[in-house]
Amino acid sequence: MTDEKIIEMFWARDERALGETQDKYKNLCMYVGAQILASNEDREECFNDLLLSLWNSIPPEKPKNLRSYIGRSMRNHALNRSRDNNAWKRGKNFQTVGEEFLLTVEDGHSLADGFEAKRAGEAVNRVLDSVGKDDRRIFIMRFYLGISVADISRQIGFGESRIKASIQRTRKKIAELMQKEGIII
Amino acid sequence: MNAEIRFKDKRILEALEYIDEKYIDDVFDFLKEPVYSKGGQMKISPFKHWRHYLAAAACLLVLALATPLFTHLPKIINSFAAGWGEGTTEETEVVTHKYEEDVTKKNEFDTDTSAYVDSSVTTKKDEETEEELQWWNPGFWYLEYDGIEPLTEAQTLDIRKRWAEIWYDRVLHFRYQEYIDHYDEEVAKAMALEKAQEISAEHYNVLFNEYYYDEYAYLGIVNGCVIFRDTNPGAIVRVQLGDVKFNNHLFFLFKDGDFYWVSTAYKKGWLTDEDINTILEKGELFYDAYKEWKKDVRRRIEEKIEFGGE
Repeated sequence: MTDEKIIEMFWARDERALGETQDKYKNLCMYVGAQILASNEDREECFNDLLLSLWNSIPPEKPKNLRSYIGRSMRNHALNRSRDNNAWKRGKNFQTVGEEFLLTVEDGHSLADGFEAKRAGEAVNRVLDSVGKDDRRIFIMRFYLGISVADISRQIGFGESRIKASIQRTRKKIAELMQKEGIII
Repeated sequence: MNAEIRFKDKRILEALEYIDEKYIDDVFDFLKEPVYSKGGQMKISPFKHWRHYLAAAACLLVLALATPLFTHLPKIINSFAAGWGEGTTEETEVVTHKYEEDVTKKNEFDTDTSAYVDSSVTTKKDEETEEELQWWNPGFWYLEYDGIEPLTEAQTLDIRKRWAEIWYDRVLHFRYQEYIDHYDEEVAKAMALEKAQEISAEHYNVLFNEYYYDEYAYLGIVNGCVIFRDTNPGAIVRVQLGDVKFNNHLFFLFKDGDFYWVSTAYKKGWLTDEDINTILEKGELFYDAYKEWKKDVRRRIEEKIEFGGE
């Protein structure tokens, strides 16, 4: 069933939309959740929460890309649950991912006073805009979704060393731009 | 690192929440999720039926029985041979001696075999040699456990040279010794040449020996596509392109700001059969030179000659 049809069913308050969403996107959601939550039960619960939130948010929302909308929602649900459970430490990759990204600025640098996440986010976007499509995908997979290097390698089809080099390069560029713009000092 | 700094710096992660949606959409469209069963559980076990478990148990049993048999087989043969009378003792000695020689060899450095071998043509001997080299090479231990980042983060030329010395990969050696960021400089040069659309033999030779993008050797331009060869491919997939069996993932190309597999370019009609043959020829030329270079590097390591001494 197409995404448009599923959205139409949500708009018509047809409960079969939930079943169709589950059939089509459960795998994706469990995969996204697995990067953040170690427990399968937690992931299942997150997915159920996601279905409920979809039911409540569509309508009025009409997502242009349902797959991405669901993926992002699942990530947010999983992050919230991991914080609620104080289960950050139990996350499979995410803590490592966080620390890896922090390392860019930890070495002799700190965030400037009056740090604005939005401004920093815009800097990240500018860097992502300037790098190639593969580098961009690798960066988002690693830091936004928390997918391991080995798994990214399988997903994209490049060797792990290439993935690592790409991550290193993008991080370096982000750090340089943030330093230039006074976001980190 | 104290807790305060960690706490302060964690705010940087919030920036990731502002990543443009179009980039995230692109990743989700691209993402290949693993297969789950109907119940939502990930398929971890390859066994779907009790008969599969039975078959696996039978295989393990056979293996357990066969292993001691194979281990003791030479001894059994020798003891049989010893019972045949004169002349057989000498034969047993030869076998023992040969075994000792093999053990000694394991701890030596093999200068005759190239470390880099296409996985499609890897022989058992080469695999063993590779293992020995990895065991022998201190760079292997470092990179295996600490990753490539410390290498790229090495700030002084001395440290880079040191790593270049022990990491006897042609590309990394050149890259770190010359202190070149290939991503920016070399690709820029390659792109400039792409515009010029002509490469002389002399020019090609320079490119051939010195131009790299990360660990990918720049092979030249074929039909408007900038061709690279991976010197350390994770996996090679053999595909049929026209009349040729082509090692995909070993070569890739850069066109219109993006990287593509050669097979993709072939399907899109950017490369002809003739172009595929040209890429293979270039790849072979590169590989021959690469092997020679590696032998030379190993010889130097063995003789403890410093690379490009100042």
